[in-house]
Amino acid sequence: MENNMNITNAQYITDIDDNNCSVKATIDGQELQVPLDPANRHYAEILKQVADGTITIADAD
Amino acid sequence: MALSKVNPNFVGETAIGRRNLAINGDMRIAQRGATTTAIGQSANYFSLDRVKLFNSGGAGATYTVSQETDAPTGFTKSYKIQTTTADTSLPAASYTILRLATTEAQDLLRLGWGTSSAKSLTFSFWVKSNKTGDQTILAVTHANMQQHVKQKFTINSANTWEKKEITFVGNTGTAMEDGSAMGFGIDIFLAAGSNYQGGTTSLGVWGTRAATDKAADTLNIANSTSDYFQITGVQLEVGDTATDFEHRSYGEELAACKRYYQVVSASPTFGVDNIRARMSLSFPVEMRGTPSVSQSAVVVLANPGVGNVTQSGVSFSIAGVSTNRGGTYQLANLSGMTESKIYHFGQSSGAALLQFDAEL
Repeated sequence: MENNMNITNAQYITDIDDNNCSVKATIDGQELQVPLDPANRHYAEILKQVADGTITIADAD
Repeated sequence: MALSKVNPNFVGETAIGRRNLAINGDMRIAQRGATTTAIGQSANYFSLDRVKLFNSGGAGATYTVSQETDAPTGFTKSYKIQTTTADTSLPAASYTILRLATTEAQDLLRLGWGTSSAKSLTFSFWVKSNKTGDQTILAVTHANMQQHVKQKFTINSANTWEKKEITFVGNTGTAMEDGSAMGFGIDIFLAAGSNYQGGTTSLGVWGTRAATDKAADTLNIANSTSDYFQITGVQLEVGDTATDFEHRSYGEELAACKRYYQVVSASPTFGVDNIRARMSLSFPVEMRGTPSVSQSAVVVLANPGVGNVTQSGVSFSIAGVSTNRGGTYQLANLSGMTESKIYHFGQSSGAALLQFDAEL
């Protein structure tokens, strides 16, 4: 399948209860905040690249 | 009027209204702007809505994508991809793909795929390029199916608008699962390395997504900075006959595009503390799913009678709840804000846009 977004600086963002609620990442040069929704194309690609070992998602600050 | 007097062309399944499954087929909607330059290794939507460009695999080619006023009779806009940096020795795994007519699975269930009565799809479009020759075109299923069927079209004359009509036979073997995930799209490998060339399977036969078939024929627009590929009048319809392009109003088409991508250019916000502002937004069109969020440029918030507050850098995020209908969002990297005070986004913000992406 063709989908090779260039993803860097992936990091979880937490809500007020310290639960992970989204991922902040630079995707193809643009900073996005990505919901933890597998139907979201950015999150689906993040999960794929994590599974492939291409990227890791840093813990929230 | 007796039924016998009605032209059968207007009562057949393919000729009744709402024929075109493709959105923005006449290339008039460009929520991301009319031009995107210096596109390198990427997989994204640039400039025009609902047209995706993949450029991957290590090739050095770069492109500009633009909305052009050059179009065949009956159309006012077209999509153009122009090579700006050539790569005459493409890596084996490289490719440049134009993906068109992406469609949610739930909108294709009426095709009856996976049954003996599976219906065909016909894809028609106007095309223009400096390159001539054969080009593979793929109907690709996604989600649970992961199959494709290939056909090809030929550009006969350089730098001349030509209309092409291609029918893809219905898939009798596998049913498409219901849902809002990507069910189908048309892929055109405009350039590709050797991994994607040389496929010999028959045209018009569904099979697994074999790499070598994807660009069995390619115009290879990565070869020269003179190379370009231009397209408009994209129509995907049920059946084996291409009918005239279904022109829809600008407003209808824009609303359809907003299911996948939309921008916000104005909203009241309120100060959370001295560095952050929040807003609650309700999307005018329910999106396909929960969107990714971003901003195009730093925002200037206006506080009438007091002055403006400018972000030191982009920072737009989800603040609590976000769904496909809207949510609460936050701008940060501000300074000198007052808690609970109202600040206007859009009054002095220039070209800054808040972007919401739920594309396929």
